[in-house]
Amino acid sequence: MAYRANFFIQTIESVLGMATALGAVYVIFAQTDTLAGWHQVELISLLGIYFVILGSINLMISPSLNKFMQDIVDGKLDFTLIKPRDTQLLISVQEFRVWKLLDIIMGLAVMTYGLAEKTSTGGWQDAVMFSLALTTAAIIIYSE
Amino acid sequence: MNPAIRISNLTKTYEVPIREAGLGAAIKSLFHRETRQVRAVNPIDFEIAPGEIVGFLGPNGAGKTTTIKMLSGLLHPSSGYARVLGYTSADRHPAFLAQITLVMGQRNQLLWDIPAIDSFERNRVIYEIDRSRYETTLTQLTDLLDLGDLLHKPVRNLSLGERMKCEIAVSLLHEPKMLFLDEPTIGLNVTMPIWIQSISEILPFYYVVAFPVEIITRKLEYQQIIHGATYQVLWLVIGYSLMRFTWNRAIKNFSAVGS
Repeated sequence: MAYRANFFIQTIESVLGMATALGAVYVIFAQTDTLAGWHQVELISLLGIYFVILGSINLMISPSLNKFMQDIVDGKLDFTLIKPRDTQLLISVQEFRVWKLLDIIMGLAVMTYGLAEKTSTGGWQDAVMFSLALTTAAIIIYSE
Repeated sequence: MNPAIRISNLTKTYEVPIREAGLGAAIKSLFHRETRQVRAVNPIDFEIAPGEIVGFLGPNGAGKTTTIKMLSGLLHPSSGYARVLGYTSADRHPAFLAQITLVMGQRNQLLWDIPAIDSFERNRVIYEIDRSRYETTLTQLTDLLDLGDLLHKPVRNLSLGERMKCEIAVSLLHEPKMLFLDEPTIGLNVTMPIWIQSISEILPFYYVVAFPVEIITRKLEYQQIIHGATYQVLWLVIGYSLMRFTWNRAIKNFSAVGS
């Protein structure tokens, strides 16, 4: 948040990214009802999930890992290693890009819209399994 | 009384890749890498008693930074051991890490794009410093180091000297017992030793300082550190064992090296 202009430009970029992705879906489904068996609302839901996951990774994990690699080059990793806390945790949370929260919010909104429009939605069991799969995937990515 | 630092037969050897210049040599090194053993620290043994203030003085490549890194647990020794405040440094026990701190003149731990006070708050959380204790310590350090408005400016907007003052402050927030300083004189004026002395009277700690050899010609301000304490200078020379001197003896013997 050092530069306010950077924050607003990143925000506009996120909105444009979502608009472009949704626009591509609408353009495709203006020509057909299904795409490899997927209906429009299903693809929109998938798009929302993609933005949630990508936003989550770019919110903290990706910038923190980039900073970690730069710290090795600059010799600043010593300051992290000398702290009395788990080094992996400190490395994972050292940089936070707040504007990526917008990607997550937009992704959740699009995902919710897509699932709400879907004519045959699954039950609560599907929702639990979906959340479990998402959490497991996040743990696997983080542990690697 | 147990020594604050005990080192026994401590050495550090690095395996360093080498190659000739040129693209051909670079491609060859992908498949066949040659290495060379570099002895960064020769076997050294010494003890530092509580209350002693120690300086490592030596030319570039003498092993000052490597020794400080082994003392602080950042590097594992190739042989021997270092015990600091009763802990074996290489074990990196959290209780040991919570009692030490490191200041490096060439690098900073403050977050670059945001005000220094945010980095202070981060360290407060990491070291689990009680809020009221943190405020008291911060006020003391602000007064001693004349930090004032510096804390609320982005670190990138500070001068080198202002940044070093903030670095010293952030490293002392958790009131460590042992302070390792690696060439901290960069960017600081001659009053830095007075600051360290003043701070140590309020937040008592031991400190080990690595100096470049040029410091020996600036003896006047550094003698101010030793007021009331024993100051021993440890001279590390490549290929020779550690020699131990008092400050005045070091000035007398080696002033030609630093001039």
